[in-house]
Amino acid sequence: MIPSEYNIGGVYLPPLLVVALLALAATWVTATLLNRHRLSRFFFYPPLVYLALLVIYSVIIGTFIIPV
Amino acid sequence: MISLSTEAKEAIKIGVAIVIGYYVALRLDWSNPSWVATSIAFISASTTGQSLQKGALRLGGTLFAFVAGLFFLGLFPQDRWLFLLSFTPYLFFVAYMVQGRSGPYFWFVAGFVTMMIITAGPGSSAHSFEFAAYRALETAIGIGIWTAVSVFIWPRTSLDTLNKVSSDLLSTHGRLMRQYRDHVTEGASEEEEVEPMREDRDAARKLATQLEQTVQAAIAESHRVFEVRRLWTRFYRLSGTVVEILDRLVSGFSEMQKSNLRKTLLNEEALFDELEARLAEARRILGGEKPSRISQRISVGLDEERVARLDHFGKAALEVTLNELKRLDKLVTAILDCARDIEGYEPEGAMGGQKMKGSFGLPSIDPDRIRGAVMVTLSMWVGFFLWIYVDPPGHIAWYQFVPSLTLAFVQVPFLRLPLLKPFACAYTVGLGAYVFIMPQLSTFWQLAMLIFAFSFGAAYFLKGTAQLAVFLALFILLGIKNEQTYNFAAAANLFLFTMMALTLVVATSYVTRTPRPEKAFVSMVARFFRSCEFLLSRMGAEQLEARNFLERMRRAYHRQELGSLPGKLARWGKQIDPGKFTGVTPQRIDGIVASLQVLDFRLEDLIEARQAPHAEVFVRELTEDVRAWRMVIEENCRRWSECPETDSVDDLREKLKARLDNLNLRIEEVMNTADPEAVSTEERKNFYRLLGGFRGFSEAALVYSGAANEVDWERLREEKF
Repeated sequence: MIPSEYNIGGVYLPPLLVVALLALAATWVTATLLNRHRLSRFFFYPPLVYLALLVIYSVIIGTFIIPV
Repeated sequence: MISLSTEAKEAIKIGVAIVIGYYVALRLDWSNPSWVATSIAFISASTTGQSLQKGALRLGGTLFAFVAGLFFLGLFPQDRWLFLLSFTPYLFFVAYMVQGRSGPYFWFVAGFVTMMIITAGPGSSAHSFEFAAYRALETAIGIGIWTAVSVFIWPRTSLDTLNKVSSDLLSTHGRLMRQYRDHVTEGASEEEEVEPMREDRDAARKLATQLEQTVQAAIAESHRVFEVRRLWTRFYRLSGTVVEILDRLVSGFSEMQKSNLRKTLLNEEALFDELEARLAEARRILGGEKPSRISQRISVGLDEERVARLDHFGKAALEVTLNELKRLDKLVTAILDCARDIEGYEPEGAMGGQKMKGSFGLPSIDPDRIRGAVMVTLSMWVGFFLWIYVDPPGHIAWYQFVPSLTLAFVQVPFLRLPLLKPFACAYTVGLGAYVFIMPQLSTFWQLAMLIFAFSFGAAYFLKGTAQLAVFLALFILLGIKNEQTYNFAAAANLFLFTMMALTLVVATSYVTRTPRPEKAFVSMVARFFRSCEFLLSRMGAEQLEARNFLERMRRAYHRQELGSLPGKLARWGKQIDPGKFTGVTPQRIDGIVASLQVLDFRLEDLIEARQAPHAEVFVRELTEDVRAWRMVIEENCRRWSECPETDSVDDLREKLKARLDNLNLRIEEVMNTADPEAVSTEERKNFYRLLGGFRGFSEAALVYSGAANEVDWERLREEKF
């Protein structure tokens, strides 16, 4: 797949921005679920895990769904 | 004739003043017309006196910033790193002071105006001077315009508010006295005692704070109040202490109730009747009536037969209560004297005055204020790096606007991203006006209508952050000037920059404070007990303390911590979401905070009693037994500082009971063997006060232990995203 910019009403958005936004949403959902089921207590430092999740989701989405 | 509400009148006044401010600034072609309007918007308060007081602080802060800004610019004009390094301690100091009680608004203005001056004219020093001078001039004119408007249009004087607030406060105190007396008479249970009084106690605290502000405002506004300003200051300080003493009495009440000691006190009801009558008299005098009664001296006595049957701890509890009642008696007398003196009547000096309780003597550092100051300086450094190395939309404003915003929000204990919402809404409306309305306007009067609509809307419909957001949108986003130009990209970038700047403010608050209120709560409880442990461990080391400056500083720091932490815990406790933590209800959190407050009172009593002179024989014979008690309590405080729920209440009760029973027996022995001539009445009283202090602290520790065991601390400590 070839990376291409997203065109929203004439405003061009870089694919990395779109990937980052989707990854952020996915991370937020994951963190909320982990909190709800009291699974976050098993992490030593959740803010770092949050950051790690964001990177992992960005790589997955950027590799398989929206090429960056 | 349309009748307008007070809020509508105030909003119209603000709108009119801001329009006049813009008119003057545009007419005279000043550097930035929005500064006059900014000054008006932020000093406008409900009464003329309050506005004048705020205006004086704003002008003082601006002049301070004028000097400070030019000083830093002159110090290292060519070296950005040295410039920034030299400026950092200043910003740190200002941010620390903003969070204090002495003139926070002055320091806030001193901080953000200095930031504006140092970032204003990198091109030439003349430009910086001109900028600073215009800023001071426009602030002063803004204050002048608002004063004129508030004096001529629907004037509201602080004197009416002062009369009302002082009258309400004295009535509330009177009600509290009555409630306390009723409960003494009816012998209500602990819960029945505390619950109905809580509402009035909270109201009295709020009114005492309001009275302080109103007195300051009235001093600025009225010569009559200015002339007796020392008396008014004394009056609000004394009034603020009444609730504290009643709190101590209420916490002591439950202990007295448990030991069935209440009936031992004679004349207590008569004393409360007299106190209530004195407060009513003070209210009448401040309301303009002539004095109509002479205060009577009521001495609370003791039923000697009952006292003789009491153990030493019972006698000690009585001594503590008697002491508190005497303090309350003196305090209310001093309030009445103050009211008489304010209105020009001779004080009833024969009754004796109340000595104001001083501060802890040495200045002490507040770690939470240090955190706030670090947050502000950190935001400046991050903003500076972003500007220099990334240069996103906003450019130099990253260095200037971000620390100013952080300074504005540093007092908010818990910042979260929803802070962006009011700004996003206000800036969207502002952007709409900038794009669709402003280009259509061709005369000042058309522009005036737009300015009025914004200002009125903000002042009438909004409060707090939302109001600030609309004013910032008006002053910054619309960018009203004589040579008006329109640039959508610039306005959209400003919008984007503001959102990013606010995100950065929230992010820096996460670095210096925890984003989880429950964690902050647990850590503050730990701090409280660390301070308790320190102060207990230093009991008996007063001589070392007297010699050692560092030791005195440490002591002052820990006493300051104990005094301030219950209030902070109450604020953070309110932020804990009970929905997320089963078993952590607001009532339980309140229970913890109330028990810590009582512990603080009791420890203070204990320290005070410890410092009084004691008979040599008691000191020699009982030091080891007292030490044994202290070790138990100290050990518990240490454990609570690590884990707030360690001991069960019964275990602790058993331990303390054993120590106190032992102490009681030893006292009996010492009393029987000691020469009665060797112990003076004063020393005996002091000894019972000290003993009462031990007993009170033990009881308060048990109350805390009970409250703490109802909270699921494990859940509060759990890691969460």
